[in-house]
Amino acid sequence: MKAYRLAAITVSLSWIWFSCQTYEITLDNPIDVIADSIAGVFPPALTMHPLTQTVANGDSVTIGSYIVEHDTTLAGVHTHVTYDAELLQLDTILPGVLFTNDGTNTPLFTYTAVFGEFDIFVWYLGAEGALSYVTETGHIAEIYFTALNTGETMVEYDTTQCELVTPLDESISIRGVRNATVTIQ
Amino acid sequence: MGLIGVNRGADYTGKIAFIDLTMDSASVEQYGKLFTTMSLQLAETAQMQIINPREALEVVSQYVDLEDPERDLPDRDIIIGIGQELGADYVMYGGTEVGEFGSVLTGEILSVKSGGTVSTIEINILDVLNALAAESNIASWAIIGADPPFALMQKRRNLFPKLPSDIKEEKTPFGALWRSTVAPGWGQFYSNKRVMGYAFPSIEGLLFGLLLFNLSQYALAVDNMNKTTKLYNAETDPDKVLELRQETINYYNAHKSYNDTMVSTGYMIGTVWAINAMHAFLAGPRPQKYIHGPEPYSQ
Repeated sequence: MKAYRLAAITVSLSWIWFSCQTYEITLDNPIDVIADSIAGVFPPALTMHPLTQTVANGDSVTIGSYIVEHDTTLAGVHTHVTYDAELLQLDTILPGVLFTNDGTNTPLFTYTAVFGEFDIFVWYLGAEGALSYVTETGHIAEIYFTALNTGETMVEYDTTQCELVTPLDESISIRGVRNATVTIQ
Repeated sequence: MGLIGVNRGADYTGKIAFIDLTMDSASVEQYGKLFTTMSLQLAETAQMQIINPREALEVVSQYVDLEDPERDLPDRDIIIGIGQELGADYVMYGGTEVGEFGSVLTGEILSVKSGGTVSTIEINILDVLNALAAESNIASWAIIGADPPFALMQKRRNLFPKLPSDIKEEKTPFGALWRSTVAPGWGQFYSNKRVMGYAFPSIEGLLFGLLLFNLSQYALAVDNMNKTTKLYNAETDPDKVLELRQETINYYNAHKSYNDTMVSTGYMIGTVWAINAMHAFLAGPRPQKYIHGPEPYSQ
């Protein structure tokens, strides 16, 4: 009887104790400029979403490429991305909504891929003074891979070959990048 | 013998019947008057109602030979049956027995509905008579403004237990303490402190209500916080990301706030609980000191 009472008291106290816990939250979305700043990545920054993902061998892997808070007119982007080609196979790259503006504008979008790396080019064409541009955080491209083998690989920007330009073809310095990690099980 | 009354006391309400007092032959008349007086006292209270004593006597006479001076008390079941037949809620029965310390008047109140004992009372008649004699003698001195002789005061004192610790109380402060520690207010009811007996559980009830309200709000905030965190992590629209970030932070702050309130309420519940237990102990039933008046041995 005493054991039952003790158990009942223990359960009750545990319930109250665990009910009184406070939780900590981790807000680390790479598209969130505040989260990026907390992570030490300041705008303008090139980021990938999601930062980490775990997939099974043979699964499709989708990674978004983003530009965060460039804070000026942006008319073109060139990104150079590397990955482990032993683990991932590039399927295709589709334009993001930032430059297409949901179909309103038609930027020139192209990419080139070789073993383990690819380049994405997005820019507006036009005469000086009548050029289109964007000013906000947004989606540059959606990259589709297929997982080939088990392991872990980073899909990362090579900042030495990435470039952001204004409508006047002035270069915008890239202050930070956030790369993606893919774990294949 | 066969005295019937209706009792609606502070603790118990309903009808009560005094039945079948068996007495020693020397005191039938005296004690019969005493119980008549007791029933009349009960009848004086506003809650009382009286059943006709004759009606009760008729019922009692069906079970007991009232002409037999040597008769015993009827069985408990019969007493309950008499009470049921009379439509009484309680039955008081009893009698006197001559024991080592003189005649002891014993009464017991039974609940007709449950058959359980509600209370018992024992009065040593000899003590009462001696006390009357002692007080009369002391009054003789007091009436002329003189101090009574020590021997008289000693007699008064001897009528009562020598030390308060000699007085055996059925209810004790520790009895009140553990009851109130288990359930707030229980010890106060045990000590007949009804106001505080209602007050403590009411306060605890309110605080527990507050605790449960905050617990539900806390659980809701945690649930919403987890949901918005998932949405935030999955969201790719920059504007919605910032909205979800703020929303998640709001739920985070809310869950901490409700948690703080729960902790504070918990402290309040504990404090009130402790005060309730201490009050139960301090206000608990204990022997009254110097119930015989000034301590004669201190002279």
